Parts: sequence; C-alpha cells; structure tokens
Amino acid sequence: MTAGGDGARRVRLASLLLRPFLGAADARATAEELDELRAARGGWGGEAFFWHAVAGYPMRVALEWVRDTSPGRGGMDGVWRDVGFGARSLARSPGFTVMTVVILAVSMGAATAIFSVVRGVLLDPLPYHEPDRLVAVWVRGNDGARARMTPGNVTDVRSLNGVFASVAAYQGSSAALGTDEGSTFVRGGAVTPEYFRTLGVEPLVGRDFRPEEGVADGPSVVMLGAALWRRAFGADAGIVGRTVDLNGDPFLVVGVAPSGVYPTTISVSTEIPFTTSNQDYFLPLQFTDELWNLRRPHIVGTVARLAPGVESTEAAAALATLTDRLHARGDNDGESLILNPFVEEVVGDMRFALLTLFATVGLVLLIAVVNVGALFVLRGEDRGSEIDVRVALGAPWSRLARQFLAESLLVAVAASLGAFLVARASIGLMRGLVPYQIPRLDDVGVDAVAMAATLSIGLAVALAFGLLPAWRIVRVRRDRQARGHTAGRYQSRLHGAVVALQAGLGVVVLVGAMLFARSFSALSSVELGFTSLDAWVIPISGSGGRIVEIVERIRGIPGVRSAARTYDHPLERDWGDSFLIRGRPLASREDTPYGSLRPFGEGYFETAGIRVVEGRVPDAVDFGGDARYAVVNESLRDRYFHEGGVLGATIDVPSAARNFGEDRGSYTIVGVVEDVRFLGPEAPSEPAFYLPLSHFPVSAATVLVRPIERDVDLVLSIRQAVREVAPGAAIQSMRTLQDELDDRLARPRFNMMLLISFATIGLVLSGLGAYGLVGRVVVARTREIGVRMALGADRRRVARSVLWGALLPVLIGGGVGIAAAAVLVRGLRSLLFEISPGDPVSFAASALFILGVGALAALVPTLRAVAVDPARTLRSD
Amino acid sequence: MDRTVEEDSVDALGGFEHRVLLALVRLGGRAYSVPVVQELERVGGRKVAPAAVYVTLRRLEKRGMLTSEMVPTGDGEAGRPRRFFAVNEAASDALRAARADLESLWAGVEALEL
Repeated sequence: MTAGGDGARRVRLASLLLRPFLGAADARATAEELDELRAARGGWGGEAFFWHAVAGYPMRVALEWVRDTSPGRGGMDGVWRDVGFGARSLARSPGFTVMTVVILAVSMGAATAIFSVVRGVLLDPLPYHEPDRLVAVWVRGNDGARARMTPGNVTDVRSLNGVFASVAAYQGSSAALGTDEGSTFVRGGAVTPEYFRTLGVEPLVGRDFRPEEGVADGPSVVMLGAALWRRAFGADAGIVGRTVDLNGDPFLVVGVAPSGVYPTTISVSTEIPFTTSNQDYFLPLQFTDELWNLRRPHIVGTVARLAPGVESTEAAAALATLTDRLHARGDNDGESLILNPFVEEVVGDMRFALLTLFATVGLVLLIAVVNVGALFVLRGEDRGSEIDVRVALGAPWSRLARQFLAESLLVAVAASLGAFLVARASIGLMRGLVPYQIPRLDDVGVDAVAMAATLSIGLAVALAFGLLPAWRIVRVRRDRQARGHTAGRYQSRLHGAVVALQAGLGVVVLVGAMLFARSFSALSSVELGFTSLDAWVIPISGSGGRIVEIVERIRGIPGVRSAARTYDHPLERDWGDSFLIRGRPLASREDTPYGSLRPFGEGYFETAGIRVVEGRVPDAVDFGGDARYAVVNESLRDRYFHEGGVLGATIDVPSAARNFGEDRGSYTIVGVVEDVRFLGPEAPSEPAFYLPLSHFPVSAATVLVRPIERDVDLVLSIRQAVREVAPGAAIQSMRTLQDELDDRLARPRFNMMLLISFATIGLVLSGLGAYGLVGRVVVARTREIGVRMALGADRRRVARSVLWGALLPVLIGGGVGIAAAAVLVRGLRSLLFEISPGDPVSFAASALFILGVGALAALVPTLRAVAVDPARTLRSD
Repeated sequence: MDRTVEEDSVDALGGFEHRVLLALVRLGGRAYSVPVVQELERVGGRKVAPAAVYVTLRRLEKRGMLTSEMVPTGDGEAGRPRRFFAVNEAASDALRAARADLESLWAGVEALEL
C-alpha cells in the first residue's frame, strides 16, 4: 500500500471513476484494494495492471446488470436479450468500443461544458435585480471614442424626467488599509448613495449608504467588500459599527457589500476589469454642488436603471435630445451622451469569443459524430458475412436490427456518462485555467439543458448508426434478389461520402486554427512604442504627499537605472481630454482636438524607454522652473499639425485651467515622442499629450522604476526605502511592464490555445477517419486491381486510376470545405489581429494539408495493391 | 422475476462462481476480494480480472450464498474500509452438491487415459 501523495491521488481518481458503477463506499474500497494488488506487482507493470483493472469494472457491472434484469436465465427474451447480445458483442471488440465511447464522450463533454458556460455567462450574466433594465451611460467624444461622464453630465442625466428610475455614479479608489501587521494596499470605489439600490443588490450585513452620506464633507463611512471582509476581518458581522483605518483616517463601517458589484473601476474603452481585487471597499462619493456642475473632466462612470415602462431605445432618444440641448447651450464641446445595455458592458467582447468557441466545439462534435459513424459502418461491413450467415439461417431481420440498435444504444449510454464527467472536469479546468475573469464562471455548473441537448445528439447518433447495418441487410437482400451480387457500389459510394465529409470539416477547423495562430503571432510581434519591459510599476498609497521624496530615495538605490513618477504607466489609459491649439480657431465644436492626457514625472520617458523623435523632453530644470511645457506623440502631431510646426506651438487645456487655475491651462510643445499602444497591442495608437506633473497637479502615486538588473535584493531595498520615507505607505505590488503586457495578451493567447486545441482534436479525428476510409476504399478494390493487372493493364495506369478514385472524394470535400470556410471565417474578423479572414496562407496551407493526408492514405495501399502478384490476389478471393 | 426453484438451486453454480467460492473457503471462509484474487491466481496459475471476482462475489451474495459487510481495516485514517465476504450454509450446500454432482459424473470414467 502506498501512502504517498501519488498513491492517494491514484486511488482518489480511480474511486471517482468507479463511483457511478459501484457506489461511493464500494468504489473507494475497490480502488484501495486494486492499489494493494498494484503494489504487490510493483513498477510500471503494476501501474498498467491497476488502470486495466479499473477499466474492467464498468463493463462487468453492466453485463451483470443485464444478466440480473433479464427475466429468467434460460429464456432471456426481448429487449434484455438484445441488450445482452449487444453488450457481449461490444465486449468482444474492445478497441472499437473504447474508441467510439471515448470519441463521443470527449466531444459531447466538451460541447456540454462550453454550452453550459455560454448559457450561464451570456444568458444570465449579472447577479442584479432585472439586469436588462440597467444601462451604462457614456460620453462619446468627437473622435468617436467613449469617455466617462463629467459630473455635470450626470446632473444633466438626472434632470431627465421619467426616463430613469435612478442614476448612480462611481469612481475608482485606492487606499492603504491600516492593520495590526502594517498597511496593505486595497482597491475599491467611491459611489453615490443610490449605487447599490440602482443595481438592485442588498448589503450582506449592515446597511447601504444614506443620501446624507453622499455630500461634501459628509461622514467618513465605508462599506467593506465581501472578499476583503472575509480576508481581513474573518467575515465577522460585528465589524459593522466599528472603524477601520484608511490612509491613516478612521472610517465607520456601515455594511458589507456582496461580491459581484463589478464596475467600480471601469476604464473607458477596455473591458471592465472583472477582478474581485477592485471591490475591497466602497466609500460614498462626496462631491460639492459646484463639482456636480463641472463639465470637465471626465471622471465618473454612470449606471442607470430605466424607469418602469421605458425602453432603452426611448432612453437613448431622450439622451440624444439632451445632447442637442447641451450643444445649443454651448456645453459639452460637441460630445454626445450615449447608453449601452449593462449586460453588453459586462459580457460585450466575451460574447463573440465564447460563441466562436462554441461553434468550434460544435464542429468538433460533428466531426466526432461522422467518425463514430464511420467506425460503425466499417464494423458493420466487417460483420457482413456474419450477418449474411445469420440471415441465411433464418434470423428475422427485425431481430438483427434490434440487436444492432441495442449495441449502439449501449455505446451512447456509456458515452453520455463519460460526457457528463468530461463536462464537469472541463468546467473545473476552465475555472482554474482561464487567465481572465469570466463573470459568474464560478457559479456555472453542468447545465441541465446543455446536457440534455448533447445527450439527445448522442442518442440520435446511436439510432442513426445503429440502423446503418440493419439498412445494409435490407439492401443486401434486395440487391441479391434483383441482381445477385453484393452491395459493393453502395459501399464505396458511402465511403466516398464519408471521406468527403471528413475532408471538408477538417479543412474548416484547420483554416480557423491557422487564422488564430497567425493572428496571435502578429499580435505578439507588434511594436509597443516603449522598450523598458523590465521596469517595475509600483502603485503606492498612503504616502501622505511624500511621493516626490520616495522617488528621490529610490533613485539613490544602487542598481536602479532610473525612476519616475507617473499618472498612467505605458500600458494604461485612464484619462482623455480635449485641448485647443492656440491661434487656430475651431471650425465647429465637433472639431475640438482630443487625446489621451498623460501627466508624467521627471525622467519618465527615459525610464519607460519611449523614444524622442523630435525636439526634447522637459528636464529637471524645466520641472523646477515656471515655464509650462508639453510633449505630444506622433499620432497627435500627424492628426493636428499637418503642416509641421508642432514644436513651439501652444495648447490650452480648458479642464486644467478650470480645475487648477488659469495659469495652469497653457503649455508649449517642446517635443514629440513615439506612439505607445496604451491599451495593449490589439488597440491602435491614438493622439496623446503629456503634461509635467509639477505643473499639472494631480495626485499620482505610481512610480516607474527601471533596474540595471532585476534581483530580489533590489525589490527589498525599494520596499525598505518607501517604508523609511513614509511609514504609513503601502505598496500594492511590484509588477513589471512585461507582466502587464502578459496580462493583455493572456486573453487572446488563451482563446487561441483553446481554439487550437479543439481544432487539433477535430483535425486528428477527421484526419484519422479520412485516412482509414481512403485506405479502405483502395483495399476494397484489390480484387478489381488484380483482375485488371491479370488482363495485362499497365501497372502505372492502374495505380493512377486507383489513386485518383481514392483522392476524388478528398478533393471534392476539401473544395467544399474551403468554400464553406471562406464564408464562415468572415464572421471572425473582429477576433483576428492584422490577419484578414481571407488570409491566403491559411487557406492554401489547410488545403495542402488535407490533400497530403488523403494522398498519403491512398498511396500506401495502392502501391501495395499493384505490387501484389495478380494471380495471388485472385486466388485468395 | 419468477425464477424456478431449480434455477436457484445448487446446480446453478457456474464454473467461475465455483472457483471463487472454493478460493474463499480455502481462505477460511471469510475474506475481501484481494486475497481471493491472489488465491485464484496462485492456485490456478493464471491472471484473474479483479472486476470479475468482484461482480461474482456480489452475485453470490445476492443469491444468498455469501454475506458481506464493510469492515474498517488498518489503523486510524477513516479505517480504510474493505468489503468482507463470508460463506454461509447455502454456499456449503452448493459446493457439496456441485462436488457430488461432478463426482457422480466422474464415476466410471477412471478407465479413460486422462
């Protein structure tokens, strides 16, 4: 008996596999007993014995069950007799049985798993009250890009009568949570008091925010997120009424929010980050009345619940009218208010990826079904003489048909059982492996409807293929009566059709897989516009305004090449704003220049590795002086300064002037830097302007540190330096820009991996199926070949004709497949990066591959057939 | 399920059932399936599928020739339960009857050069 973890795992897995057949207790005991026998044998032999023995149980138990339920041992009759016959006949060809059951179980299981996820995620995605009545409201900039709302816009939307039942605004927030063991970095949101009521979620413990808590200088209250509550406070309901320390200040805990209150840190154009890490806590948003009327900057996200009876199209129309009114009044700089169903926000780009996955799995299921069909057909043919003999001995054909049917039903039942296990395992696997958050994936189990759907496919397959041999009997008898020979022509035509189908389906999945692989390779090789992938991104909270000192201290650490403060790091885009070019009057409000606004600290471009292409970037002297300098990127220069002359031009930033004073509103452009893909390789570059943090006073607490060489001591020194300068400060994490980039690529990479793995399964199945059948077709003609050669036909000519005959179905199927793929993949455009759905390389390679498999499959048996002495071929018949 | 008396009687003992039952008796009349498998392999000199032994034991139990119970073996750790099978009167009858049956058939064929 082995006591190690390996042995325990083996026993656990075996008992799990045996459970459906033996029950929990006996499965466990049996698994352990087999492990004893395994240990007695030892080594790999023991291992092989163990699994072989485990595999033996289901069939024995099934046979026992058949034997048990058949009425009377001497006179097994009717259905049970047929089932018993089927079971025995399956047990006699374990290769066929295992192959069909495994192929069906894997493909049906995978389809069920994906279908379950699609249903759970796409059809019922939000744990909110009537989620389809929720909409997100956005500003659409005059460049067409989406932006968050200005506080003034929220007030505008609230003023609409009878359109929305409630309108809530929210912002991201981060803080240092003081605990007995020091500070930890926590992330959450600041929300208006009606936020939770708008979503329709109830606090787990305590209460929701009150209206009087959402005003300027209101009380310091906080709602904890469920995850932080469990993590840091042991899910103690007594926390309500006590205070917690955020950034050194006491906050009264009034309640605990449930998990799944997702969108507190919506970023403008990327998807909502569905991590629980941004739901640590919620504060009431405490704006002054003055701030609620500001039309700059775009700082709040907005979610609204439609008023009873109002459709989202009506609400959209009301927003359009409001937009016109604002424009007429001279507000909003040509920007419009738009809405988007909340469900779309949450599952938006997940939908297409999941549906594509679903389609791929469906295709694989189809291939599997065709394959299993082919296996049944071949088996039927192999048993042709058995059938003929039994028919000749007077067995009624209905009895034969029933027996074949029973056989395939047994396969279907076993496969369904396996499919359930596969589905359950796949969903678990997805939960563990998906590198991004799929909303509600944790709640998804094997869906009953999904299971029922695949089970009915399984049963249909069984019925269809069970009847094939029966049909053959009928045909054979008819043909024999009519012409007196066997159904050779029918047989070869059926083979041809199956081969063509295999080739066609194989081409379709292959083209899809090729497109995704090539798209991903293009994505991985995109120039990002910055080189310091080894630089750390260090968000620091609770530094109490000593961030500049912290940066200075970090710069002094040996091993640090450079360090800089910044608002956004290169793979982040949090803030878009409009600006005006001095001396250039606007033709219309819609033409207001717009770009990503990026406050930066001294040394930023050097630290991030962003190349200066024109002019210079502000240095230490500039940061200390009074002159206000700006740096723009190439996209901004190319869009707004066609005739050159970008250096020395002055831009005015109205929101800065309004928020920080008139003297902070104007900047002279001194340099142009390379474009950076802020939203990752998938998103195109956009105009951006960089303003020095010293002149553009926003609270920015992210420090970018580029090391000479990365090592652990340096990490410790940096943490030490931060603690020394500001003891209350918390470092959330030290991730490198490479980590951030990997995060961006994780999703397309995972989607690609998943699709390619499914496609590979499909391809292997269809390849094997086609290979086997093509060979079969040639072998079936061996006699004909012998006759032709005996009659003196040219060896090469015969070979060519046989080869051609075998390849024809591959050609036809492959051609139809290519045409079908050309239509089908057109829908994939939005999932592909810089690769057109009509990519000739993918199509050509796929076509050649299938043709190659077909040729190989035909060539080997053809050569063998023509090499054989014709006399022998004829004699052996 | 209306079996006749004859079917439930001793001569319904199948070949493998016979062997399994004998192995169990050789083991003192009470054992779990591992020793039975080993005994059959040792005496018979060829491999035996554990699954076959298991279903046969359960079948004999259902036919009233064996009783079984889950027994914790080993020490601690949830007891590592095993299903122990024990022969009863019906099994002894069946074995005796099978032996008598065979012996009466064998009577008189000693002369054959086997």
